[in-house]
Amino acid sequence: MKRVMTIFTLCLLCITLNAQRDSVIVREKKHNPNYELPVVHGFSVNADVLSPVMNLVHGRVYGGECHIDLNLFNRVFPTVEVGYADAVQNLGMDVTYKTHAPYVRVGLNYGLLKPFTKSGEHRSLDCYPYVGLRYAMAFMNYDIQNLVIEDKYWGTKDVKNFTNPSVYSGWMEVVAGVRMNLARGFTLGWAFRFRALLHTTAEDKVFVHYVPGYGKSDGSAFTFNYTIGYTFSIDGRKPVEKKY
Amino acid sequence: MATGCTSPNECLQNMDVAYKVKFMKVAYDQGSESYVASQVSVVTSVHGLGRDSMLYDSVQVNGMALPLQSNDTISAFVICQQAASYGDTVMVSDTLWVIHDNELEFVSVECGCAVQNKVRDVIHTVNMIDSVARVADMVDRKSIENLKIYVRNR
Repeated sequence: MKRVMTIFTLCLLCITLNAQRDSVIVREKKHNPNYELPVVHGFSVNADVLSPVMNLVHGRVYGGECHIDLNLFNRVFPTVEVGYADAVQNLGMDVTYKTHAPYVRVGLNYGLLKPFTKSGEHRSLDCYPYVGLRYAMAFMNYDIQNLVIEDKYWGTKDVKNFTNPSVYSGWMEVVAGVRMNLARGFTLGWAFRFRALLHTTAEDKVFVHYVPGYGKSDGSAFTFNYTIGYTFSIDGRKPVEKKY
Repeated sequence: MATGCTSPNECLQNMDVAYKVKFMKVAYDQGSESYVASQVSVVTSVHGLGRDSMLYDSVQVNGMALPLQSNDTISAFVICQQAASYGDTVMVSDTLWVIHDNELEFVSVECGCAVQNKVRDVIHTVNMIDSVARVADMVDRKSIENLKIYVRNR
C-alpha cells in the first residue's frame, strides 16, 4: 500500500511539473500575418534594349541579352543573364578580329527597400533601387584575319588567318540600378555596371581583344543597361495598392 | 631579321625568332688530361642558300642567329669560315640544312604574330664543321641557344 501511494504521489508531481512547463511555452505571440508571405513572389524576364544600340556605335557588333530574376522575400533577386554577341573589329591595315559567342552572368540583386514597414505591413515595391554582384563567363572563339606574314630575309610574304578554337573568359560585375513597375506587370529598369576582366584561358589578356558580354578588353570598365521586362507574380497575392 | 606580320600600332615586344647557334671547339687540356669543349670566335660569313644578301659578312663571332624560312620547311645556310692552311688564310665553306616545322604564334593585337619553328633534323657538310649538337629544337622568341657547331681544329 505504501508503494502504491509513492507511485501515485510521483505521478501527481509529474503532472504538476508538466502543467507548469506548458504554461511557460504556450504564450500568446504578437502575430502579424503580413510577415508570413511566401518565399518566392515571382520572377521577371527582361530584355536589354540599350546594349544592341551601343554595340553598333562601338563597332560592328550584333547581339542581345535577356535577364531572368527570381523574387525571394521581395528583397533578394537571384539573377541569370544570358546573351550572344557576334563582333567584327577592324584593327587597321585590313586586319580584322572576329568573335562570336554566348555569355552568361549569374549573381544576385539585393533590394535596398525593406519589404515591410515597421508596423509589419507589406510595402509596395513599385519602384525599388538595388545593388548586385555578378560573375560572368564567355566561351568564345576568335579569328584574326588577313595577317600578313612578311619574311624579310627570305623575301616571302604570305597572308594567314589566326584561329583560336576555344577560349574561356570570366569577369566580375558590380551592379547598381533601379527597377520600376509600369502597369500590369510590365517593368522598366536601368543599371550602372562596373566590371573587371579577371581571367582568361588565352595566353594573355591582349589576345581577347573583344569579349562578348564584356566588350573591348582594354575598354571602359563602366557600362549601362536599360531593360524592359515583364514580372510574373506567383505568390497569389493581389498587388498592393499604392497609398498616397 | 624578324619574321612576322605587320600591325598598325606600336609593338613593344621582342618579335625576333631566330635559330641561335654557338661555335664550339674541343681542345686537349693537359692540366686535367681530358678534352674540353669551349666557345670559340671565328671569322664567319653566312648567307642563306639561294640568297645574295649576307647575314654575317666576314665578322668575328662566337655565335649566330639564323632566320628560318616561314614558308618552307627546309632552311639552308652557307657558312664560310676563315682558316689557316699551310701559312695562308683561306675561306672554308660548309652548308647547314635545318629541317623544321612552322607554327604561327599570335603575340598581340599590336604586334601581330610570329612564326615559331620546331627543328626536326640538322644536316651539314664536314669541311670546317666537325659535328653539331642540338640543344633545343623549339625556336621561338625566347630561344637562347638551339645548336652547337663544333669546328675542326686547323
